[in-house]
Amino acid sequence: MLHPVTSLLRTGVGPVTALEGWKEWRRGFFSLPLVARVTSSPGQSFPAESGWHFIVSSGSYPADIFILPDRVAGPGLTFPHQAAVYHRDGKEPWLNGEPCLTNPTAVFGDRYGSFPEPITLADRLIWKVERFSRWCELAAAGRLHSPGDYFELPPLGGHADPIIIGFHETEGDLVRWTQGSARAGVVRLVSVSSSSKAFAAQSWRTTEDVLLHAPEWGALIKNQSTGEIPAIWFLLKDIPIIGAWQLPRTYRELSERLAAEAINLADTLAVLGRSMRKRNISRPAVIMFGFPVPRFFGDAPSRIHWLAISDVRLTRKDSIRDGFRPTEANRQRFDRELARSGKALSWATCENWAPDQIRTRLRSAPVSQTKMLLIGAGALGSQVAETLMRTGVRDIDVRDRDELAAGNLCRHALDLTMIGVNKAAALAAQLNRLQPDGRARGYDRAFPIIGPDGPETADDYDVILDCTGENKLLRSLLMIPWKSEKLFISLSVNWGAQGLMFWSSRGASFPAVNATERLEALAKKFRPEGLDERIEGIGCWHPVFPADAADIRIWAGMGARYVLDQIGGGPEGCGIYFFNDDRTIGLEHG
Amino acid sequence: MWLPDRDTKKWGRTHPLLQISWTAEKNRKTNKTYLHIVRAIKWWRLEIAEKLPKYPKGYPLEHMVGHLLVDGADLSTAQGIVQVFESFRDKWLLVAKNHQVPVLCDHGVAEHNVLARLSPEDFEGFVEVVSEFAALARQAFNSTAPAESGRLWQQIFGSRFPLPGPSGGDRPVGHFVKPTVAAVPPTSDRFA
Repeated sequence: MLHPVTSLLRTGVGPVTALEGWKEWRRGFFSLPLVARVTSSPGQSFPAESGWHFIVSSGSYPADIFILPDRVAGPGLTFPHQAAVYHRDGKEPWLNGEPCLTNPTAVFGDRYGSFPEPITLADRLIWKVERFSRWCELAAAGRLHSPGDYFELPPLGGHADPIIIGFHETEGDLVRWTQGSARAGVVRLVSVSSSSKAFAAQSWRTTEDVLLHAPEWGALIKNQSTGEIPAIWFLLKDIPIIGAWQLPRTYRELSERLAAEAINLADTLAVLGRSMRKRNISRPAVIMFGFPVPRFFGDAPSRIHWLAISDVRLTRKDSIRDGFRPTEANRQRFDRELARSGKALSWATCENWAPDQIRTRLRSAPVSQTKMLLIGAGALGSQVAETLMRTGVRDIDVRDRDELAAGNLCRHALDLTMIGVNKAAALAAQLNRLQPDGRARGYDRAFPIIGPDGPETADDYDVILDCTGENKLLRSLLMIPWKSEKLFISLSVNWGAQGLMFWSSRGASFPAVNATERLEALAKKFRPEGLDERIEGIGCWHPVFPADAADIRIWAGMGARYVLDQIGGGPEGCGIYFFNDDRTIGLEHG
Repeated sequence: MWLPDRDTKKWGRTHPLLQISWTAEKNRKTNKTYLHIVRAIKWWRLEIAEKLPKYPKGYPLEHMVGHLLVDGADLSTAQGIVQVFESFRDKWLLVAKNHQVPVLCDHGVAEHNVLARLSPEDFEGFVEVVSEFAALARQAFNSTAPAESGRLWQQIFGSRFPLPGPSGGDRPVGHFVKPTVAAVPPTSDRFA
């Protein structure tokens, strides 16, 4: 298996040759030293001769194949399209940092040739080494990133379990940063996950703790109380790499890189340490670095991206070092020393959670900002709202007077922890946990409230979504003196949830009589035969309507799709989607 | 208020508010029967429309009724109808035979003749039919037997005119049916 590639490498595959033979480290684990000889373009840091290791581990199927840099003779820096180069524990003569060669389309296009990876090991070895040789040539020419490629961040590397920091930067925010005078300050990080390693940058402040900018976060992040994570930020002119595509690996490298931006890391750490000791904070600190990034290489910057080092351990008030008196001056000296030390940095995973970045997996772009009133947080309403929130309908006010009962759970979007809680409040809390910009509010109130001055107006909303299944609600919509045009949508299922009835109309009034009559006619026409009422359970003869969770889910999906289409300007209508006998879905307008 | 007269291509003065207030005043002075009488006579006109010329109808007809109806604090609708029919005959039958049309001033704008556009032929035809019905109405009004009276009124106002029932009422027996079960408010067949 190994021979074909070995004989090929004797003569050389592009700039790559192998002069020695395979070494078997243990059963099924082989390595072959490789040498890459390239002619570097001027100004490129890829060495003219570099040592690598071709590694085959047949402990799994298919066998793992790696090409890793030699600990001594390797390039030493991380290059584009390469995992972070760092030393892992172990006696092997190689480092971590494999060039990314495996996926031909996702990253490279056909830069290394567009053949997909073959199946047999012998072919895979040749395929891989051919692509590696091309990677070396491009690295030497400095052409691994070409203008027009998607911008890619340097790999973080090193830390086994990095913390995750979400920030909120839109293209519009770039000007705020580049034209503002503040270049450093403090940032409030709030915890967002039960893993207690995910945080969001709630607000950006000056060094004097004056608010500079609070992004448009949703309710969860906005209202979360600040944890005691000491965090500061610096705005840099450029991405903080020290050469090739390598982030600083140690505090010393970081100090040197920051000096180029006129930032003194030693002083910063001393000041930060002193302030933390004053406030009795002993948790490790976080330092965030922001810099403008383009969407594509070669383009103008389009927004700020942040990177952060976490686990910055500054001197504690009670720490004692032999030979030094426990004074504040000495503690600051120790913090300054950290900036010059070879201690490894812990880079945190930083992600942009702005609306246009967090929902890129969606097929369609996020809908325009619509304020929605959802009346009814039952099985259908809760699941429709969930889908809408995930799609980017982030302003949803929910009205329902009911409390969640255990019997609801078999069809509802809410869970056991919410039993006994008002459905509207519980659903709003749930929705706000779904997306970082979720701004749902729940009210334990009927709709509409009739006050001394008549029914409440709900003119803040663009969309009125009825998921109550009740005619009296539709009739009450007629009573409200709407001041502007609304999109009225009503969704309900029929007996047994064998169909979804929908209504939509636009206008400054709601045609309640027309809507109820047409919807009821559809409901009666499509009412399945021989399906009895269910009762709540032994001890309570309250009737409940029969429907399966699977069906409710289907109709909630159809309903959410209908709402999104309507927000997108779909035609008004009234009708029912229903199951045919073979479970295909039919549509009848009513 | 000015309205265009498309036939003469002129703008004409109107005063709807005065017309309305005159009608309300007339209704008060006639024991609130005036409007009922106007409705009844318009219904009668529709019932026998094929016998009548196309005009008069609408407001001119209403105006004539108002002109003819004599005020009375204890006037009844039936009495008023009979009186209007008879006055119509007595006052205008000879006028019509002479191929003339009376001049009736608009309540709002005095210089307007409400019947200005009514032709003498139409008016004559109308009065002749009214005269026949005046006698019929008097007969129906004077009859003391309820069944007989009802039958005569039906000849004037058509089959929709309610006949007196055996028990003296004007509604069919058994109209009210006692429900077998208590009423249930209508519930929705929709769920969510």
